[in-house]
Amino acid sequence: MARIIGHNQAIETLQIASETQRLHHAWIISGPLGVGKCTLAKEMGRVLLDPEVSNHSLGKEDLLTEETNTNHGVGYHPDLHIVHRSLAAHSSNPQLRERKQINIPIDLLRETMIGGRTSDNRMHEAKAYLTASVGGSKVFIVDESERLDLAGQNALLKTLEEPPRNTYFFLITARPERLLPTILSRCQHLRLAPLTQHEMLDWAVHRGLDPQSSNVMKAIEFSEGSPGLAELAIQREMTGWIDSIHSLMTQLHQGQWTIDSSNICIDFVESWADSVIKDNPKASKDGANRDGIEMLLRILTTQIRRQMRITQERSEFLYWCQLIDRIAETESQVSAGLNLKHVLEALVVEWQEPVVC
Amino acid sequence: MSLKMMCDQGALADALNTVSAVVATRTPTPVLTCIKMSASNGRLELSATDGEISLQLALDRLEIDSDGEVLVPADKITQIIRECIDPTVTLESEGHALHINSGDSHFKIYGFDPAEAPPLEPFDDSSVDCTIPAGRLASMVARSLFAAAVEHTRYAINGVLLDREGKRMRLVATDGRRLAMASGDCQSDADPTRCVIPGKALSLIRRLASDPEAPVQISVAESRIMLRFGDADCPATLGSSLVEGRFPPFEDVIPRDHDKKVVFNRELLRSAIRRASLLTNEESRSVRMKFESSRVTLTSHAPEMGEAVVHVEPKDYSGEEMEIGFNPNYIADALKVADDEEITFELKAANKPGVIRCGRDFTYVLMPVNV
Repeated sequence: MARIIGHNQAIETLQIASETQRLHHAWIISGPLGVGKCTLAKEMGRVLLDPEVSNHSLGKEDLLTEETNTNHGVGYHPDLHIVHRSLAAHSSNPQLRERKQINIPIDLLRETMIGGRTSDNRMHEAKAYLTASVGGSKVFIVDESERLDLAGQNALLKTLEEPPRNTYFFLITARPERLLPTILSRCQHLRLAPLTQHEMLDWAVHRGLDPQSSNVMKAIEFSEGSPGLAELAIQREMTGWIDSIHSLMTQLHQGQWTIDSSNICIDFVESWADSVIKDNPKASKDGANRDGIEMLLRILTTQIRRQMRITQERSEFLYWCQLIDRIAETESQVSAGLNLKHVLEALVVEWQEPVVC
Repeated sequence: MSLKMMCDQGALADALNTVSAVVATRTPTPVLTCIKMSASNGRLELSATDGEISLQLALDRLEIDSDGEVLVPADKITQIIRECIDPTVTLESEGHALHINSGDSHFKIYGFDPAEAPPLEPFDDSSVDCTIPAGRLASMVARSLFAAAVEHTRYAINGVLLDREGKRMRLVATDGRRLAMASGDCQSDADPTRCVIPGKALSLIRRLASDPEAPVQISVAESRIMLRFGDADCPATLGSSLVEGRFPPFEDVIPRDHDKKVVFNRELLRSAIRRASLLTNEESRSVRMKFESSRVTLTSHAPEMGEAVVHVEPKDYSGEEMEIGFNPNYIADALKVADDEEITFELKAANKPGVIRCGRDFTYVLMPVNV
């Protein structure tokens, strides 16, 4: 993706800061999953690193042209460092390579950014404190920064507080509340809102999809304004699952509960987790299951919200409200590490008459 | 155009070994694990980078039938050439693959499009800052690098300061407890230069300085240092990013008001320090040194282990008697790299830093410890 769709206010904020030579060295870009946070940070990185690219091009032109790519090797710029949890697969520490990629451990942060001694007793140079290879600036993007472990977040503080010259940090997160207050206070916060329906249709056209197609429409509805999620829904053929889950909800609403009703939810989560593991064998099965539940709950809440908008009766409205609370409770149970199968079975059993603690 | 050439196995193995020290061993960018081999104008150029440090090495002991270039994984090409038993090897590219023939062996390794290799900055002849013999530079690196901090949060002292003024160059390293300064003469007409070089680049300087008389040209830009070893026909060019931050004002740390001066035979003192340090442990890592006019007594004491007393006779002593404690490892580190027969110890008081000097080219400041 080259052109950024939507997020005009965020783009304007970055442009003004850059134009006035007052671009803060550390930014938190937060917003829903797949809304374009990392894309915005990468494009800003291109503006900062490539003197040929104008500040005004941000979000408007295709910055990732073939020419800019090949200047420093295809898809590679020595001064653009993107830190994400899957980098653990390339760590020099065998323990880190072998472990499941659940979070961004401090060792990975030391290896790729802040330097220091890692648990395997190796010393790593602080890449953030070396001068730019090409001259000019350096850009560090930490994707899913809420997955930084506590030690990593604490270790990052000094770098954020005493930043090297011409170095910019972008912490990408869908859950800014999971970052330490000390990190939040050292960064400028840029919040990205979900795209509007019109912008999502624009995205579909830009992506070469038919916005009138039923699958694309369902994916857009599911994504709730996040192009990344819509893309995922199309890639993983989720629209069939969305239909099945919707019909399950209708059955449950009509009181047609059977002993197998929860199977469709469990099958969806397992199918999701399998596809995540297939894409990345190093991904954590537990993490993939949790992601699957998150997607399932997203499908359920989207449908509930739609019902709440059209319902005329107060009692029915309250019923949907209680279900939203029940889903929030399910989220807490998953976070608490309860057995996923049991959690889903309980959710489906209580669907007809939700009991909220 | 496809590359075809024949070359000496030993020379190629040595060159590949040196260049592979630069490549990134594990990276999500596969081209950074590769060495680019470019044959043209009768010589083969090997180049690699890990994003921060780059190295280009030229070889001329070869016969090139056809110019060309390949980009192949550094570990595989290095292992293969090292294991070849025939004195000559033949290299031939086919697309992005490289065929290697040597005696009874044939290998084919799959590489990448050479155009994907990150371009390396060439050495700019017009921006040479100074020139120094390789042996002298390597010796200065050896005399300073060991004292650099390894995991200090003040990142500038994790590297070594290059400070040149006029025709005098100094390399300075400190970890906060000691400071090593190696000096040497160089040829230069340029303005003074100051930059902090990362330790990895300095380690490579020592590997590249195989001919001590060969000149090394140094060029320092705002964010990069470039060093060219050897003559322009067959050079090795090392480039490195620099360490950000301000190096502490080291000159203020070197005491100038000493009133006690002791001259030692280096080997005698080294041996005495080694013996005295045998009875130290993690908790009491210090050796007490009692300076008297006729002898110096080194004592150490480790609880529940024992005590050591070692006498060493200085060559010359001037000043009053005094006692001071030092970490013996820090003294041993300095004596290892000081290659003159005599070294001088300069002292002021038990709570003031001591200075070890070796000729005019090596100064080592170390903080005392409480004993």
